[in-house]
Amino acid sequence: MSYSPKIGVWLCECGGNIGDVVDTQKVMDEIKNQVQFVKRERYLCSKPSIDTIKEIIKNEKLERIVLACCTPKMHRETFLKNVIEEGINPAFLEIVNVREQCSWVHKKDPEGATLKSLDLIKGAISRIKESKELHTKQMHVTQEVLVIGGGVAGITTSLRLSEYGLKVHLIEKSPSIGGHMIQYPKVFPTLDCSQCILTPKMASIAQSSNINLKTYSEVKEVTGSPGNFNVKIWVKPRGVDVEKCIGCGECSRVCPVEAPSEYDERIGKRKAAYIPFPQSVPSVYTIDFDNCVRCGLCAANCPREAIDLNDEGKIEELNVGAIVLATGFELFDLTNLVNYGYGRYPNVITSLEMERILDVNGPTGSQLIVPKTGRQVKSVVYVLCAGSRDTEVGQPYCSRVCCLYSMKQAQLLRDRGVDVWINYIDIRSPGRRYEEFYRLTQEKGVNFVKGKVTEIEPNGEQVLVRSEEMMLNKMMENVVDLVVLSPPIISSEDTAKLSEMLKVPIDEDKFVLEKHPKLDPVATKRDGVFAAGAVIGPKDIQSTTAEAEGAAMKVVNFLGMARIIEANKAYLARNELCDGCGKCKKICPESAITIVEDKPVFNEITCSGCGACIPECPQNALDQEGLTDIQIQTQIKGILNDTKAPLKIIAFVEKEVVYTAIDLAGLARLSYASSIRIIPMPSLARIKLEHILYAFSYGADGVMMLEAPIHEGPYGNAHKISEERAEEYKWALEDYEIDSSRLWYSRVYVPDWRKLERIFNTFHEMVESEDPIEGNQRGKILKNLLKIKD
Amino acid sequence: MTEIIFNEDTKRFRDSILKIGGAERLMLCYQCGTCTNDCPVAKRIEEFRPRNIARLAMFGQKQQLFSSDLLWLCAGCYTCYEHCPQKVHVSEIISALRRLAFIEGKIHPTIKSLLTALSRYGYIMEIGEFENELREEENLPPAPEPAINEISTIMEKTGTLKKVGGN
Repeated sequence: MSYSPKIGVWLCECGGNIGDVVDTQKVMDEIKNQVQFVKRERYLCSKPSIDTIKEIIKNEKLERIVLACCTPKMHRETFLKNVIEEGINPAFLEIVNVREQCSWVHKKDPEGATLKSLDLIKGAISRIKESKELHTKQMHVTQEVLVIGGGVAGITTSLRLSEYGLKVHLIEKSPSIGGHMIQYPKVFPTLDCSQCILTPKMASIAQSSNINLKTYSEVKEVTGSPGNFNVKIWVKPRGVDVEKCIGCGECSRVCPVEAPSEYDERIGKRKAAYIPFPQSVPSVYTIDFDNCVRCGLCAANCPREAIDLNDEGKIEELNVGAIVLATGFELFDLTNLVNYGYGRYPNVITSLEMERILDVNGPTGSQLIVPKTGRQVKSVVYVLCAGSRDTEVGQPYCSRVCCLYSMKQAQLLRDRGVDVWINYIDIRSPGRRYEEFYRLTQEKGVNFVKGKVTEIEPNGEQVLVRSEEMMLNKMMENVVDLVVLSPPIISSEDTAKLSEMLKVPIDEDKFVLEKHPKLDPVATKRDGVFAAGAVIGPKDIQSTTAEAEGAAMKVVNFLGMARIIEANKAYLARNELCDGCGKCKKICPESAITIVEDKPVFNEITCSGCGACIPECPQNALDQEGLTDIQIQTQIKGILNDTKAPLKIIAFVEKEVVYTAIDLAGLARLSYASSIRIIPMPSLARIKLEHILYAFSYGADGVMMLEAPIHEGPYGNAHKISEERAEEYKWALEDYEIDSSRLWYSRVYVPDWRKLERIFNTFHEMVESEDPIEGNQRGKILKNLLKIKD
Repeated sequence: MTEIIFNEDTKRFRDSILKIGGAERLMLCYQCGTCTNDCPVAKRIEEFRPRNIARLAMFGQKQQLFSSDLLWLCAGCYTCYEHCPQKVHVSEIISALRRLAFIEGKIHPTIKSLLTALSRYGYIMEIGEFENELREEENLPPAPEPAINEISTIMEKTGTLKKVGGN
């Protein structure tokens, strides 16, 4: 190292909080020969002290600053802002925590606290000498959004984003937006007219100049990266020019072909030239080419010449910054449940078919009849959990809305004098006004029967329904006109396809996995891709719209924030060593790495800076900005070199969750061995075997790896990796004749801070009881390490 | 074997319960079991489960309600009335059921003999010299002369007399 930067060190006494325990004079004496400038302050965070720091930086022309004071979580931001004003790069400020980690926890051992403070400062000085300037970057992020799915979730998100001023591309596979919600006549628990509340929103979509609505279209391909996705849209052959069509319906009137109506759950019929329902958005007709006989009548009668029976569809390309998945749900195929006879008995139908029957504009013209036989319905049995909560044939989870919508339908039926039985396993009505809705349903005289329906069989023109009445411990038979089954709500096939295309992981139940089920519920595991509604699991409209609003905010946040990229990324430091094996790509928990021409390319937005890829590289070709291997090594060396401490333990700790827990232990004035010297890491997956070996060769008697729980903290996805690595490292240590028990690995939750005292002391005592590591043994390791390096 | 069947009769019977004052909230019962656990009779008699009575009533299962002593075991302490979280009031349901049972002549023999005594003596038991001597020992006046005529007229006109097998 030819160039030696001018370093200034400040020690804070924090009133007496630090100064009463740590012998600051001794520390100053020990380090004054290593740096240009040393000063002690009573309160470093006070305005006069900060002004002095700034003054001295100017006068002494200091280039790098080390502050030994309280936890960086306390005042780092303030100090940073002020030193930046004096032209110091953020990489050239180091904070040494001598309060929470020294004076507060080693009160009974002032000598140990002083030695530890000194060592930690020495470590920071060595490290900062190796620091390089860091600069945050600005990245181009396309200010356009793709929303996939035109149900209530997609509609809500699109509207909110367009109001904010972003360009939105809303893609819907069917000819109209509206989703499932537009099929329901009423919604619980308010018994609002569903179409009355959704139709105006659909109209707003059509009218918004910020929304590019693409119906009858599907996403075909997604490439690029978060902030800059390239999307290919397949606009399916519709046979009608959406720009020209004025929705007059002339084509439909002359069309001779009839086909089952998807909107009416195939109970009713529509023409091959059709509009799904009168309020369709866009108000544009579609030719169903699967059923069209190509007679040409529609084209001949269209006053706008909008029909092209040779339409082959087209591919359109989009460039967007973020994507919202709102692809909703499908229903489980009930023919799988043979004992219920769905598909065989005309008077066994699904709840969604019942929704259509209950609609005044439905396929039965508001008559309560069995659609296939036309027979009047005077009694109905509802079969809840017809496949839900069933690990055998159906789906293991609860579909969440069946209890409530069945009660809704039951109320509508009771109002029309129909006898209703609801066979349930458990009634689940958690939600605002839902229990009240349950009570209202009871008041209307609906019969609730505890016991799942086991069998349905024909009984003349009616059906016989068998179940147990568990409350009475008795068998029950019920002969009724109609049975309505509540099928499981399942993830749609499109969601599975899209999850592959978008590299968004799905869970065992095929629904999209949230980034964090509690703390980040509408973000997916992939940056820039968000989700709302039933695509994340069965849910009611209230929760769906709440999620849709949340997803819109996440998009706005992402498109705004992603422009600044922190300088903490992994990068290919030694290009010549890389042989393109792709192991880094495989291990990356954020899928931030792609291999282009046999070299890794790091997506700087997606890379969290966890560092997991760096130890994975067999060629040692990778490194990390602001946390280089050489920085880690020199910090370890700085801490351990020439220390007078009798026992030395290096503790690598995760810097968010675990570091906070250690601060809390300090705040509570717990007392643990002063041998513990802490080095924060983004994730313990950043630690290489060589870092541990360096620690032992420089004089450590033990090494700890304290990792945060999986999925917690900003580098949470990497926390699983470190556990496996620690096992390997333990084995490797034995090769160097270091007992594997000298490497400690555990996970620490924030509330675990009380346990830290015991963890640290236990490890300290364990290491203390071992025979010391011989000097020549340490020398052997170092020689070996340096050989590896050559 | 099938033990619960729904038909027009069960529906009619349930509707008739719901029409009786105090029993209107029957359908709100969600079978939590508070009534049963609180019931002093249920503590001693395993077959007596107020929750089951409410359930049978909700399903209009007249046959099962009327074919045993169940309805007549309630002591009328009203603990269930006080504690029901849905204000279903099983005690009132039982009263309503007793009334319907009575109308159909399904009356417990004990009740029957009490009513027969009432129509005959104006009291639910005969008051003779022995009883009045006992009263005297307690410094009570002799039992007032019962209004036998009025009572038996009422019982006759309401059909009660006939139900208990009187003339």
